[in-house]
Amino acid sequence: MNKEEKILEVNNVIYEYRNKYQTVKAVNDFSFDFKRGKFYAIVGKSGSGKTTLLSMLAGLDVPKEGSVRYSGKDTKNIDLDKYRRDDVTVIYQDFNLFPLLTAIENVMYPLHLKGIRDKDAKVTAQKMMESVGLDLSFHKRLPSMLSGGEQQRVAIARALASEASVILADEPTGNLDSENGANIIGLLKELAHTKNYCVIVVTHDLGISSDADQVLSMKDGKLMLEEADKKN
Amino acid sequence: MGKRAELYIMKYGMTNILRNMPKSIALIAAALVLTISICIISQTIFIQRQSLESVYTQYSINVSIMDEFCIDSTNLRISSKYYDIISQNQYDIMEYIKDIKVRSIESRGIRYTFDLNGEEQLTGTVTGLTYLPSDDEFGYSFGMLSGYSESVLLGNEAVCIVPNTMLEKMTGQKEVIFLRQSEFSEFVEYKIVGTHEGKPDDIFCSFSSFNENLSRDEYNIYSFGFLLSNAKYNENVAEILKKYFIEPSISGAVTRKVNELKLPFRYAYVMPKGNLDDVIKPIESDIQKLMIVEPFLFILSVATGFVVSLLSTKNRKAEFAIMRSLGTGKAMVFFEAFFEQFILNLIGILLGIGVFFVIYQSDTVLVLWKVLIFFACYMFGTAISVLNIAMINVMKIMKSNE
Repeated sequence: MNKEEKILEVNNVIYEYRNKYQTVKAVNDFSFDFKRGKFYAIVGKSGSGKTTLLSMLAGLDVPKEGSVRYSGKDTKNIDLDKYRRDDVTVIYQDFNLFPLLTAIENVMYPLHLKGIRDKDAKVTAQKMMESVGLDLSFHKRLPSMLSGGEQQRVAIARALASEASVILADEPTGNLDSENGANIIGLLKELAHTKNYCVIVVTHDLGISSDADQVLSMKDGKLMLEEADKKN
Repeated sequence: MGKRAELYIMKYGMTNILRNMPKSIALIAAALVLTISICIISQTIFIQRQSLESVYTQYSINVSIMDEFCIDSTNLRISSKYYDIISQNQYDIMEYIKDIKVRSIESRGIRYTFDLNGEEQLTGTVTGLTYLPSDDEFGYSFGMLSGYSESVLLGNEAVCIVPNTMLEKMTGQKEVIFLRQSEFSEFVEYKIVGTHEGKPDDIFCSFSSFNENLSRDEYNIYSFGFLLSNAKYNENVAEILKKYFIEPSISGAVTRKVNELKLPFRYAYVMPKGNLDDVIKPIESDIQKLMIVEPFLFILSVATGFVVSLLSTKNRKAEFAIMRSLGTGKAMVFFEAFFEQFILNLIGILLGIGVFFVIYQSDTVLVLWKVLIFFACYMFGTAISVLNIAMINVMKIMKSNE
């Protein structure tokens, strides 16, 4: 597998929606190629279109114009449910764990969706939890019994369990203290560099951007900073 | 998504049910209370209908045809065509018409012989009947011979009841007698089925046979009546009778001159209902009220299913959004939410049925149909609510974090 392989290609994406008064271009002619093994930070003010872009990368929506291509295939022409199950995974600011499932059951969820047997799913989930620093004592705890940092680790373990190539994170440190936040960013960066994931983090936190291999700045739905020039 | 994933989604639903007991119990209780209400209302309607039915069957109405003033019912001279209306089962409700009483008299010299050799020839009166008259009616005492019942008079067999004295005089075969309209017509063989102690030249035979073989007059019915064995059909019977007879009223007015038999409206029907209306009106009114409430209860079930389901899933939008973002299809998210509601409602309904049968000691399984309808309505309401969940806009929830 080519470490520099383009995994997500965003070409002239426009996404607009109508609110009460006007048509808003949330993403306006955005183009960029995301590669495996890289840790990207997308920064910008609130309303700059970061999350809209993320939702299109995550296959939760498709662009009105332009295209998002995963491994060369336009997301408009693929089964988006399968895409989200197998190829891309999202980590949220408020963790979004299933509140009535234990930590290990949360990690097993994407494996069960793929039809993996309970026993095998459990072994894989255990490995994933270990890889994010959660030992056996955390397995049977409900999310309400975990700290913010621990919950985010479970969310990361769940993302890893899905074996997706692309990890998208929407403000993953937003609800964490600075120490836990730094640990989570460190973990995501390590995953990008050692496990060859394409990690894209949407954030307000400029501290994170200093850890990123590449920072994309957005304003009014447009890619603003010099990284735009880096498009191959 | 494969079979195993679908099974997992069901397991996930069960886990949610078991790990959120207060919510589960509240949903079960809602379904239970509604089920018991449905059962009670259905049971009450059922019982009231049964009592109404029992009242109807206990009340028999003696219908009689009278002259146009509703005074005389014994000397009418009505066309025999009216008998056909009742006897030929033209209407659905004929099974409730019993004891048809038709009487005719032919006294213009019917001749008969009661000896095989034709030696004893007499002229007398023959009466056509559909029933065995009481002793008071003719002042005679009637009896059927063994092997016969009075029902033979309702048919059109050539049977007759002869005077005792005539039977005693017979020397040869004592089973038949020969009757004819006049000395110019052919004798018809009549089977003797009974005797009476009365005038020695009076003979009674079945009306149909009399009308066919012996009567020279179409207007040969002298009295006409029947018993309506189920009062429920009194309106239907009245509708039929109105086509042929005058409806009794204060004015007694009849707008049409000719009835459906193309005969003049000359006779009135009388249906004395006694205090039937006083008895059935309160029951009917109760049933009507309950029948009005019942559909509302089903509509309420749809609304309750919708609201209960909406409330129980209201705080789970993020959960469903994350399911969708992890690649769970819309149909599967709908299935998961619906499955949970289905199981909880089913438990509530089964408990409700159990509680109802234990408390009310009911043996009416009919209420189960109503409960099934209720369940369908309830789940329909649930489905509408759950559909919203499945159609959740994941992006909107993500945006709320921005």
